[in-house]
Amino acid sequence: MIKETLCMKEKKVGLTVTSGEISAVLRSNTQKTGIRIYDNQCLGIAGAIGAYDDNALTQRARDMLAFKVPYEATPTENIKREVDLSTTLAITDEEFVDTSRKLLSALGQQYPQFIFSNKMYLTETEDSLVNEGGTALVQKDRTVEIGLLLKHRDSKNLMDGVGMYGGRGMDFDTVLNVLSRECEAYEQKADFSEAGEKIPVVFLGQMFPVMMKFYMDLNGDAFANGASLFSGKAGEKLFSDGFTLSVNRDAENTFARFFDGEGVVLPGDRFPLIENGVIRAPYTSKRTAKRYNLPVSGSASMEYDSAPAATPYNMAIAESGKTLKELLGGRKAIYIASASGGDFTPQGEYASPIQIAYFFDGENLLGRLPQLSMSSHVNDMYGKDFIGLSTDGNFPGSPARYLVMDMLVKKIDGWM
Amino acid sequence: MKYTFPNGMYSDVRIEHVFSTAINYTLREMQECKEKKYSAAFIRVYDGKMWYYASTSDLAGIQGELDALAKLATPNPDIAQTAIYKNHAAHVDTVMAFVGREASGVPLADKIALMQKAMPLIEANPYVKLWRLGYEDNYTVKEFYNSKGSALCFDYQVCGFRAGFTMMEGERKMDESFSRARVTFPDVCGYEPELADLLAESQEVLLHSVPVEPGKYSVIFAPFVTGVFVHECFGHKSESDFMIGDEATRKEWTIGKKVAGDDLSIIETGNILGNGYTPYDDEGNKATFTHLIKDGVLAGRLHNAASAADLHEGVTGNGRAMSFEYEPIVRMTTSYIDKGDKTYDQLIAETQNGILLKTLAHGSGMSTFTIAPRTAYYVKDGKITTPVRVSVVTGNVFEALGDIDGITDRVEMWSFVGGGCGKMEQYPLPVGFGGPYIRVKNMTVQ
Repeated sequence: MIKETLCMKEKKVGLTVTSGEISAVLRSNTQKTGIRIYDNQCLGIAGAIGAYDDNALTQRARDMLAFKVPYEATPTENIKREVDLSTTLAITDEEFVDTSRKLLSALGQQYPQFIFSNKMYLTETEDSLVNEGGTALVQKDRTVEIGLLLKHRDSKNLMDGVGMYGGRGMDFDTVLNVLSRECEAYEQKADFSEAGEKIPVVFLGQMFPVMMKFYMDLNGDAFANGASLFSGKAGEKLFSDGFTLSVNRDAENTFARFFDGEGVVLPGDRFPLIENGVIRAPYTSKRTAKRYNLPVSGSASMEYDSAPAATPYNMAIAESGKTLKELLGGRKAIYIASASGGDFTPQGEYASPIQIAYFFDGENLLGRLPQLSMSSHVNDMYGKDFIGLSTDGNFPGSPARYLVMDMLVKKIDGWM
Repeated sequence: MKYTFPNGMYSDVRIEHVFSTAINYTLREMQECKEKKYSAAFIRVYDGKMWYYASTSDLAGIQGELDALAKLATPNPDIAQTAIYKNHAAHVDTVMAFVGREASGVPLADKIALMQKAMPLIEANPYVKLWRLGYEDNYTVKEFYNSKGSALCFDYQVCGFRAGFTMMEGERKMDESFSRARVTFPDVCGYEPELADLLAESQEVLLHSVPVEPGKYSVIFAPFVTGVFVHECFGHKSESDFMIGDEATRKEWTIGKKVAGDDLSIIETGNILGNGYTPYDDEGNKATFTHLIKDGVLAGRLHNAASAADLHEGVTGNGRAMSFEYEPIVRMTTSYIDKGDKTYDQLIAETQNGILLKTLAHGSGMSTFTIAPRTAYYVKDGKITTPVRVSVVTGNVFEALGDIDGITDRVEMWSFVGGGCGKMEQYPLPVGFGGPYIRVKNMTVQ
């Protein structure tokens, strides 16, 4: 019998922004603890929020063994590592509130035609997984997250853009520049004439909606049971030479947790799923890997009171060794600021409306486009039409990168 | 009073006592079996200018949290004159709808047995390659106290079963899911015939569906799809916190404006037992019955205390929080389109070139709303014909309501488990929705 304890602590200052001003301040301090008992290839789990009695919680986890939830893998043994990234962001709660207030004031003065709303957070976390097999993994972090909705005062929409910033720094000018970008470009309308040819589209982020097909079809259960488009295709080259997709747990650069929910620590913090266009393996937990004799990808979920399950978190496309401007090579592109609601068919056809988009030359947003739609097929998006993932992001230290691929883009009636 | 509330401020305490169950299978292997119990609270203080929030799982420390928040705020002798203060009620009530029928009283073994009845049905289908089952229940007792004298206690419950499966035949693939949610455990039982029908229909779609010819179509929504449509297309637009400080949106959505045909009415209420049941909201305001659209005319919108104050309208009982970790914001409860006057057969028979959407994977809504269908059929010359594969159906929110040209005469209401409504960071919040079959012209189908 092995006992394992997961603990997730979070200390948060949250600011609610209404009409460009801070309307509420939240202070929270939570701790969620889960105890897992591994015994006779079964798993029992019990969880608690806040203070708890360790003996009582352990007994509850033992009691859950009666339901015989199978767990044939071995708990992770003898790995000790602590990563503390919490000291990088050296501002106090009060400084965070003060800087946020100044940012909102500056945005309001520079862009009075916009209404700003939503949330700003300063979050301190400590996640740990410790077991009787000699494993002790701890990660501490402290980050700022800003997600401001932009609404033009003349617009009839719920929102006209999103200003996103996330990082381990809160330099006033950097954050203001990031949040200002779409405000600057919004007023200038650009026309779009359909050429009938595919054109480059650019997404900014870490995990992208256009990767949804991989989340579904690279799942270990689907892959092993013949329920995936990629089933039986391990070793086959389906995509572009330049397309490599990995599980990436590089905590410092991607803000991921370096260990997964089963205490797996990946060599070099990476595990390749697709390498230079060739299907290598699906994403798995130790449990799914054991069941289907697949490699362990370090993709187990870490909910404090749930059994670990294979999840598509922390999947990352490898950078292509070029900046965004180099990837575009002088071609004019469409920068997708918001495209929600699209999907792949089970066969891999993709279509999505584009709610907010701008013409883009690789450096500057050149003008807001009318409502568009984009379509393609997963084989083309990451095959012949894949252009690459940039080496640069939208600000120094940003984990976000630009994903570029050719797509068929059409105009939908009207402006947002 | 249970707590000593600070002077010169509005303040409240919301406590939730939660029991929940989650059981999951992948194929025949149990992945998860857990029961969870916790109690926790969210505390708010308002001084006329700012709100101050705290959340805690230490119920004994609530008074201390309240006092600490009060120190951050500035006492306001005129707090009682503020609109937000006035928009919080002083109800004293107990509404326990599920006592004696709590999911916590059902043995785990019975919940597992309910799930296992699905296994032979799914395994009998030769095309199913992967399947997953889930059972969830949630019984929550909420207490609410505020500085105006409110003292509320009410309960909420939902129990549900879901089955997701993937069928494959060569390069053809079909994902589909089944869900049945009710307010008590016994009502979830007996789902097997419905699941068997869905499996048979999905097999037909897998084997015979054709890619859609992209274009504009009249699209007929089955009641579940109508529910998602009304939620995404119009419901979110009715959440009036988006209108705070926003003259353009208020002008666009002026009460009394004609926005649809005479036969369209949309209703929102927390009084219907199901996912969206909310007899009192998380600000202690009582559920109402709100006509958002009545006979094609914009008739109302959804409010919490703050949005109602800003728009000088009445509260509607729609201040909801996902859990003790979040503040109440304007959210839907149960939204539905009211019945029309056509029979289902009439609606189909008068459709010349359309698509019937029976089930969907997801929907979303901003100015352009989207629906990603799963099971869909061409409707040609008044008859349902070939199953068709569609990536996404899109339409303009402002135009779609006016483009509804057929509504059938029977409303179906839906609750479900495994997901919910998302608004900014608060996901998933349980909501209910429904409606009749409706037909919307000029939809873009890709």
